[in-house]
Amino acid sequence: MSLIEVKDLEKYYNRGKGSEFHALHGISFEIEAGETAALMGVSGSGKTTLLNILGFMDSFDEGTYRFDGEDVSAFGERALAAHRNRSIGFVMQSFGLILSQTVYENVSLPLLLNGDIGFGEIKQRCADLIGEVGLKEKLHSRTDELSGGQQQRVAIARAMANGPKLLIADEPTGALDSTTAGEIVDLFLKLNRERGTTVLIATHDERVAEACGRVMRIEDGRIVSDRRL
Amino acid sequence: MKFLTIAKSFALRSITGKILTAFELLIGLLILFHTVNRLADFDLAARYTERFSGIAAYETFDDEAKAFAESHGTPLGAAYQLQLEPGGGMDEVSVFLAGKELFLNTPLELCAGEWFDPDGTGLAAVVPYSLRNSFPCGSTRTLDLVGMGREKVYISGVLSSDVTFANSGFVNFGSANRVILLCDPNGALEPDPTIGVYSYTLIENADPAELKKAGAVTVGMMAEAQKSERDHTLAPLWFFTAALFVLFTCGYLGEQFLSLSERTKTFAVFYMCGAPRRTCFFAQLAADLFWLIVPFVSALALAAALGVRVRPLGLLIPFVYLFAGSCLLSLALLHYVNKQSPVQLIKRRFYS
Repeated sequence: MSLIEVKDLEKYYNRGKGSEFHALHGISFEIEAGETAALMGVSGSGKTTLLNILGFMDSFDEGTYRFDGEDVSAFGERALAAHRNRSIGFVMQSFGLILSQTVYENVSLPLLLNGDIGFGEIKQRCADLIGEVGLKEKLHSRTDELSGGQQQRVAIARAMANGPKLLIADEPTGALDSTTAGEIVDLFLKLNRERGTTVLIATHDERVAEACGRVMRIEDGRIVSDRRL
Repeated sequence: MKFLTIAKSFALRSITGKILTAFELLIGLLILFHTVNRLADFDLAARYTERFSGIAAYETFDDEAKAFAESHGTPLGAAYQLQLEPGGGMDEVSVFLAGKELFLNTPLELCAGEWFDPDGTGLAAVVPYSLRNSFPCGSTRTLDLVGMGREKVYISGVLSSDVTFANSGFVNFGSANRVILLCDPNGALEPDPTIGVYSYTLIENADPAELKKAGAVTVGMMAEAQKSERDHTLAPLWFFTAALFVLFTCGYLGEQFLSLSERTKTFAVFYMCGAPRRTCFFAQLAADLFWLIVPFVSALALAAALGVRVRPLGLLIPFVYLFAGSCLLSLALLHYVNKQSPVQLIKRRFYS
């Protein structure tokens, strides 16, 4: 069953104004649940715009987007927020952590926002996740004291906190050295393998893309190739 | 509870800076409480002296001029001591009729009530702190005054300490001689001027040439002279109070504005993790209020400990000003974030 199903997706910025920019042109594809896919393209090709839409962080102008069988265009603000919290995990090149807070505080944030989880369970789940990404001994360290690779692991643990169906990573290895980048990619693959989480990674790096089972290329807001490895 | 934990994420950003600005705000508030109290005293004094509108005032320096004034007019001194009838159980209490300049020059402070009944024109009194229970503020009591009979007195205020009369003025002096200060806006009492200590004289229908010859110095119309004196004192006091307040609050507001970038990114991280915009907004506001309420509560506690009287206006003005500033900032932030992609906000340099 398709987890993501987009058809004829169009996205404009400043639509109807002099500075109108057509960012996405009729994007159509499907991603199956449990799949790992890479989205490749140069800067400005529309990768991040597409990921933002798929991650409920941005809206689209035309076309349809069905997530896990549900029509996303029917979602209100609350439903979108709930899906960002529970169904999607977002990992970014710049990590997106609150640096003045500890590893535990960062990872617990989506769990606190979930609303259905007690403090005891939050504590336990955070400890498990942080252990899983190999930072058990850093549980109460401030995130600004960690290396880039460690910060990205914290970001991954946070993204996985509510057990999302889809993990979106936007250039997750862009700020890391090749060894650390390899470890991070391995971590994504491990999460996909062990938890069945669907992983979608936007990347410039061919090696990262090859580690995924599928590579989609985007140019000027259009999917120009889509191949399974 | 979870909302508070989320708000804590906003509140505990750069905690050292926040503690410093909170401390700065606390000092500013204490200064403001004190000065607003003084300004309120001045304001009351102004309303009191307005009752002398249209009456000429003369200042008398030497004994000859004083004698002339006493024979030609009604002296209004700093204070007249009134005798209480013995046996009333108030042997250790003195009563002074307070002259108008008391309200302009007195270093005494009230801990409750006002210097006189703002709505009434009858006799009013402020009582020393140790008599606050015997003479509750707002009650009406009867005093047996020698030569004047029984007078009904409205207890309008309580002094923040006990005072005694020495060196032509009232000073804080423990409870050795507890003094009740009477205010007589209508001049209903006719005190014996020979036991009064005064420097001003109100003279009606006197020949100015004769007064000048006697050595009385014209200070002009009483109310107008007071207004001039008041304006002279109040204008700089208002200016410096406002300047001090702005100085001590600019740290708080400045910290808020300078952290705008950090706040937008925190806002965006929360949004990305599944917080609706409304939750982000209120969590941010709650965090701001926390850092506002902490110095306010501390300042109130310190003011109570230091005996600084807090007027409602002195509390309301800074709170409304700072609360409005915080709300405005949060709304501006919401407006800004709504126009930006949260991902772009997070991607900026601060977080990486």
